[in-house]
Amino acid sequence: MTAFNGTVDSVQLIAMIQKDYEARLRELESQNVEYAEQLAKRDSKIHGLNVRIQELELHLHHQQGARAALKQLYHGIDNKIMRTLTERGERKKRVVTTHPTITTNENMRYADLLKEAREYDAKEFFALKKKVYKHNLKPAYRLVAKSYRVARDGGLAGMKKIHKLRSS
Amino acid sequence: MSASTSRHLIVDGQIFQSAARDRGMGRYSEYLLSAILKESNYATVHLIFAKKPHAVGIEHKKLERLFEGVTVSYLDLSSTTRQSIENATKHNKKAVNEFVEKLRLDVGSVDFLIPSLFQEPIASVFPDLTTNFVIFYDLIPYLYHDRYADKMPFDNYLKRFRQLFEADKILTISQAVRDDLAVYLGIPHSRTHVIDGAAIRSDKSPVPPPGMQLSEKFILMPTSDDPRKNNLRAVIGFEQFNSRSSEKYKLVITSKIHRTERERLRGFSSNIIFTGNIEEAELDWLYEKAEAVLFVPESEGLGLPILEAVHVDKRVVCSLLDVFKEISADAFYYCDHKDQYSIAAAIEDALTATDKGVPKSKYRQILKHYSWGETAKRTLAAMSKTTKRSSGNRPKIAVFTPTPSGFSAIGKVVAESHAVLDDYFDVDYYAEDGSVDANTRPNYLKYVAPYYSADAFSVKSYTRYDAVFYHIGNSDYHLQSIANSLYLPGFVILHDTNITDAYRVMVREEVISSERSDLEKMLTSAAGLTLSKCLTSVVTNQLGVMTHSKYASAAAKEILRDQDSVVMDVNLATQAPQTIPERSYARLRLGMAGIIADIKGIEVIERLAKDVKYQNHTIAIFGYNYASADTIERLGSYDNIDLTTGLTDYDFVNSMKQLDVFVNYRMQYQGETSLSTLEAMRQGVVVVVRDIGWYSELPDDVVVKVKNPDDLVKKLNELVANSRLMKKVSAKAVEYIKANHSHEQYAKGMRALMEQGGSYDSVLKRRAELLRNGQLTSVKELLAELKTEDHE
Repeated sequence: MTAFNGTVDSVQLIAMIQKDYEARLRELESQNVEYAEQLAKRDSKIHGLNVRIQELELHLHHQQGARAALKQLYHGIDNKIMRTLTERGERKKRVVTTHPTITTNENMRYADLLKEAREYDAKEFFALKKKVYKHNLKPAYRLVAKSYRVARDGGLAGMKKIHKLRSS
Repeated sequence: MSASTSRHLIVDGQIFQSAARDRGMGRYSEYLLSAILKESNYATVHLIFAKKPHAVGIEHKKLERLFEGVTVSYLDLSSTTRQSIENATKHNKKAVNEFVEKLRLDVGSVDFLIPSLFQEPIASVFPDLTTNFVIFYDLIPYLYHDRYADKMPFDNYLKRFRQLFEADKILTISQAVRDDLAVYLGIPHSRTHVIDGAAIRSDKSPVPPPGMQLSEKFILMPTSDDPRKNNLRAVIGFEQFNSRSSEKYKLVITSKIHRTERERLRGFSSNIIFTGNIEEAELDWLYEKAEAVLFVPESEGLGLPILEAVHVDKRVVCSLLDVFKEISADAFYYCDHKDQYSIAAAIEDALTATDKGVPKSKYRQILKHYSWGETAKRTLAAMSKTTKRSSGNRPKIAVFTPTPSGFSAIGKVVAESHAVLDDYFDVDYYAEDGSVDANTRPNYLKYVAPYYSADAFSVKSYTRYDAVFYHIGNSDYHLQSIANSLYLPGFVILHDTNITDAYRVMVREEVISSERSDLEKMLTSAAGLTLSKCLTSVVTNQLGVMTHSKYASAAAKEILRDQDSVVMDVNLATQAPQTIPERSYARLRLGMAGIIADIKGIEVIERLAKDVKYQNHTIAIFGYNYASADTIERLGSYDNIDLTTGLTDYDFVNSMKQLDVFVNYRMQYQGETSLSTLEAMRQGVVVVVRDIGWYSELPDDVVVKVKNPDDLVKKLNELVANSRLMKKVSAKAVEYIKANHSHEQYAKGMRALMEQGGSYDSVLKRRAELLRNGQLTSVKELLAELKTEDHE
């Protein structure tokens, strides 16, 4: 509050009070803006979290439908069977323990080093390169995987046909 | 009347034999085909069907009555219910080829149209000798693959991309869809054409849906049970608005919605009415009686409900999507579909505006453009201008690439280049995975082109090609590429000038010995190389080298010294969309993308976040997170920092698109080109880069270059205060990308490199020829040859 003494007339007094109120009002307004900003920020954060919760719920919901659950179960089992067959039946990569030898010394110039590198590469990749297998799985596992796939696809096609006949 | 009388049209009508005949794509196809028949002067129009329909209750008689003036034929067409899509496609290819042959029409005079390519269980194919067209509705399952992959036969979906890549022209239902094809699949604009669409209205008078008592006012929400329809947020937004309006309104939701979804939505609002599947005339009635139409999906191909609402002069509340803004930038009440408050506010604006009418002149303009007559005219115009693509005499090449579904961005670039590369080369891809399994994006490349594992490449394969291209980078996605380039000379495409880490992994994986890796380092220092590391053997053993910057080109030349070799600088390929987002530059969104790590300029970000000048702007950080939990928590505590990690490609592109300014300040530079920078530039984002290497080579008016972190803050301050400068740089960046970074220039560059590569060192060339001709068949012979080289 502005200082006040008895020598001030009423017009001045009103002006001073008015000025003081205006200053106070500005201060309050600025505080108000600050609070509003803070509230908006909090609101925005709550909103963000709210949206996230909904997303998660929505996701959860989509997982919950009986048909979706069945489908997921089917895919889960199918994946597991195929993964197991693939993992167990995979040909183990032949570990190449022998590499061509390289002889270098401090006196070798750039051209000598490059020649050494080329010779190594030719031997390494041309001669010792890992054998490439046509199939990734061992024959027995390949046979099992193939039989499983045929049975699975055939079974599914049969079920679809039965369903069609029932609904027609 | 755009087609000449000597032309003939064959339409694959199987969509009308499927369960989708009464849904969006089926109805769209029917209306468009009817309009085409009215507008065109094709000499004959043939509609082909499968002998066995793909859904129950479809009679031949009904199909034959669908269109007047067409010849209906039933072919022995297979589907995915009967056999695998590969076998069905093979079978159907033979059937349609025989059909075309039997018609005995002139080659090149027949157009073939597939109105709906992706509908299960149909296996549509193009005949070999016709000019081929496909209508494309959207790329949504690909873009949202994380949600759709386990809800549909996703492999079959991707396998159908082959027809898309084979089409002579793809007719898209909006510009946004056309841009998606360009941005995400690299399909050039020259191969796509926008035809748009129109409202679908019944030819019967509107009738109320049976049993529907609607005494109250209602808002109509045409939707479906699809993951990207955003039903929950729409309902919450509606309820928020309705609770403020004393629950005056009901929300009428159309289409069949799953029971659990209905129950769930009812949990958020007791003012919902579900109609289930209804007749078109009933839907028309709902449109006519509704107070407004609410349509807030996350993504759409066109937005038929909006056009239907416009048709009956209803106000539209819709998401702020490019595709809707394409219909009209200001005729609708737009909202942020991710924000229920925004949805509620837009509904309130629409229903409580003082002006109760709709913007009639804008609506008239929309209807004038979006009519079936105009859509048919656009379709026929595109078809008449299209000629069959020639696959004539193309060199056969092999391209080594990181698997497109992996973490390497190079795999993505290679996949996106294929649509154009296929015009210049007969390409086989040899792909390699990284050490960690990744499924960053669906790998469609393996279904649209011959695609093998890089492990399978051998001298024998090498002899089959006119050239082999090796993409060389500094990661575990390039081990086979580097190894093969070391002994089978070809053309290397350098993405990094330091491949020390790739050599390290090659030793770890026992591809080479540690002595060989050390020898490569010795070569770098013996040659006194300053611009590259571990590149000597790879570069000196090739017929040609392709680089993406003058910096990398200088590095290759430094290695090659006096060797008379071809080094060609070609810009990394990308495809700019046609529609660039408009920016107001009022409240800025500044972004930093890529790998978020403690060392990567976090302090600069925090400095900006604390700065009073940036309090009203948002700093968006998005990408892979390698920073500590403390750092992430600290960054998250700033109100003006928006941090997102674990984004899909689609999220990444969208996050980039929303930016005004993108900061790409590399603390360390290894001769690479930045795809993030190109991504930002093609979307019209102003990019601030470090003045180094490839970044320095960019023209001064297309990016903002800075010398050091202090300079970065200074230039950013200047930039954010100058919206005119931002507009100018943004426009120049897009122009620059369109003119200089196309897939065409990339393919042409590869071809030129191949043609000029012949002048390479005669000894290596002879070795390449011997290998190619199969004259060297054993290591003994090779060593003898190497000895001969020594003497020479």
